[in-house]
Amino acid sequence: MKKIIIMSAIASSMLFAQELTQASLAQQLQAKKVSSAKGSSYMPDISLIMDVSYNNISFDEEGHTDHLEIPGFVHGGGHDHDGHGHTSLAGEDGFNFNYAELVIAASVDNYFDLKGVFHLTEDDFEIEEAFATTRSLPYHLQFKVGKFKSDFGYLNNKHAHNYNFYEMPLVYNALLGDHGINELGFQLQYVVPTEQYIMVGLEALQGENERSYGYEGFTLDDSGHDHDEHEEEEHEEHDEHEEEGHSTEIDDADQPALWIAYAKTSFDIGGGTLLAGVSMAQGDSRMNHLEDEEGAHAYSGDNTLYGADLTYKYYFAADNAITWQSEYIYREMDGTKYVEGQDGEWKDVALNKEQSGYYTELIYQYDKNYRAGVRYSALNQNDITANGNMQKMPDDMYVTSAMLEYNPSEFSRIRLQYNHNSSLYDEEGHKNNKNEIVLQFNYAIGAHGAHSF
Amino acid sequence: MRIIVLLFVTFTALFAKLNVSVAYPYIEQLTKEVAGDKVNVALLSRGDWDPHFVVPKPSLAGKLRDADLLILNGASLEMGWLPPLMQISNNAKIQKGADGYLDLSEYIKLQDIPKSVDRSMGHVHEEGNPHFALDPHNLIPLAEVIMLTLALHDEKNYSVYKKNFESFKTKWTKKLKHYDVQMKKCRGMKVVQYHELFNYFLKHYGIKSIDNLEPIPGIKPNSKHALKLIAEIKDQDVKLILQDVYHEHKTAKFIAQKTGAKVVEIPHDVGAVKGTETLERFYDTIVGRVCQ
Repeated sequence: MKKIIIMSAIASSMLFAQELTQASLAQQLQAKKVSSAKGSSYMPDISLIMDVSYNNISFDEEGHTDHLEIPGFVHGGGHDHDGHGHTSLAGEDGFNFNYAELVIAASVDNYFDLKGVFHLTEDDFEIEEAFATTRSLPYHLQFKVGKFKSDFGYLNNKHAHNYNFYEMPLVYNALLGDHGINELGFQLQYVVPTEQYIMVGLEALQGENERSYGYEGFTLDDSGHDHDEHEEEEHEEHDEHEEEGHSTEIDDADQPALWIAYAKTSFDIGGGTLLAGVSMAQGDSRMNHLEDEEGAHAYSGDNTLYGADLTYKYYFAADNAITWQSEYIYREMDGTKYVEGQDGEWKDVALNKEQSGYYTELIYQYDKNYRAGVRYSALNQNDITANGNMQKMPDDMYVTSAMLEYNPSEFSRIRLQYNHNSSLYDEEGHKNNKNEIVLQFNYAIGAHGAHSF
Repeated sequence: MRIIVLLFVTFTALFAKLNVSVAYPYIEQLTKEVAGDKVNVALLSRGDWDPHFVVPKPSLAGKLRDADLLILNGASLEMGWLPPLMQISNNAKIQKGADGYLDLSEYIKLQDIPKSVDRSMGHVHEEGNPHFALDPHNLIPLAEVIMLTLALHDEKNYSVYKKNFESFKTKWTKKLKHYDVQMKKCRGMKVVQYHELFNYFLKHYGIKSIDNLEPIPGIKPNSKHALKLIAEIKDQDVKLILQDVYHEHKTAKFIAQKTGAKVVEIPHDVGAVKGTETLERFYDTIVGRVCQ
């Protein structure tokens, strides 16, 4: 005991002495400062990005372009059900105002950073992202809250102006839609204490994705008309599938309805740098297409996505590099589809989907000004069973793209891209290839944070 | 219990080596001069790369995760690559404003501070020219700042750092005298450079940089500007075109051919060209090549 007291006395006196010297060292250091911080530091970073393009689109069969779909993935000719006016897998023929993006970011205080990304189209103002991130959590943890792009996979958290091509690859569009997984929720990330960089993360999200996830329940009326779950709060306690007179009610999914987990690592190999990750997204799926004029239907079930991504960058110089980037996503959907029968009654169909797709791209950066790249994206599995019966679905959808970029500076970009889109089928089940040439202009002004690898 | 914790803290503080991550090779060398083998230094870039456009390799985030101290050049030189790495490192100690964040530019009187900044002026740093490390006279103050910061984080080795700094100071003072003598004969000389990399060095030794190959900072040379340069070089009897390692060399060669001025490749950081692996050899090379 005595020993401990003596030792602690030594230790604390050392600490005390240390504090004294530290104060004098800090003073000396402070005295050496010659420039003080800029007065503008209370002003957040504000930037505006604008993207416009001229698209020239042609189809193999020009007459059959109204209701093109990606069978088993996206139906109804690419039009959106909740009124988004976004370009789906590339724009319209002619001039396109693709988007303007307003980004405002700053430190809130010593503890949080805040970032808002506002996605503007000609008629819409959307909060693409608005989230706070911790900046001083211990144990190498980082917490995010708000609406944000999930770190699922490689491409999901990137913004459109950071894509290597005009649009998202086919697999993302088919499984997740134009915005990817962009949700309200929490995120927690941890950097593992190893020499090699390994990050693991967990996200708890609302679950509102136009292609894969949804939490809002719906009611099926035999009259053929649905009414919104929320209009009848008193029915909340009813169980799923409960028959109530002539209607079936599907409750809201429990919140959070979507859980995402991933692990990412990076290391140097063969003179270049590798970034690899595996991701999983598991959530409830409620799809309400009851308002559709033709073939009204709804779906309730669960949806699991598995993703694997690999990026390898080899640099001859900092601005002269070759990058190979690939990503594979597998989806398993299991649930019940409700379709309207001939007699106006709703019929249950046990629906199971096992689908997958991938993209792989090669980008060569010649210097700061020129970049060129090719990309191949395909949907290679499309196994759908309805009530246990395998459906005959195509699994030969793909898009091939090539692009050439001229970047007059870091803040302006002119891109020429060619797409051969062989993923679209008409109502009779015939493929109709789409060819597209895009001349894209992208500009950024203001203070915009640097982009990641 | 508290005593044990206290002992543990003191103990680990006594034996753990400080982990320092540095943005550029010259900072690595300076840190090693001051710290000797008392700290682990991790370098985040390469000497032959454009310092504005370093690849933000996520593989380096593992090193940044464990850093007790991050030393950067500052004045926005790292703006395009370091912030995303800092962000994914999840290391609270080295975030801007934290104790483990040392921005060297705060300790140097910066030059070429623009009166107003606009992107149409090219890649201008509003804080001033960030390439202050090119002037060898800035090394002693920088080393002292590094010494004080290391000591703040690692009190027990203060005397070692202090001693190392003093011997570096003696060594470098001698070196500077040598450079000053060597550079005297080039006072008043006129040069052009590709990018305003060498302003601090040139200004210190009274060499006039009359123009740059870049029409405006960060923008590639064009033929109109090259023609203007050719006229200027002939008119003002410019002897040297200072070329860095990471920009294209074609324009400089073309202009040299038309004017008779000589192109010399000048390293902008330790290790940028062969035989510049130490601070001494790095500045020897600059001095030797600029003032032949």
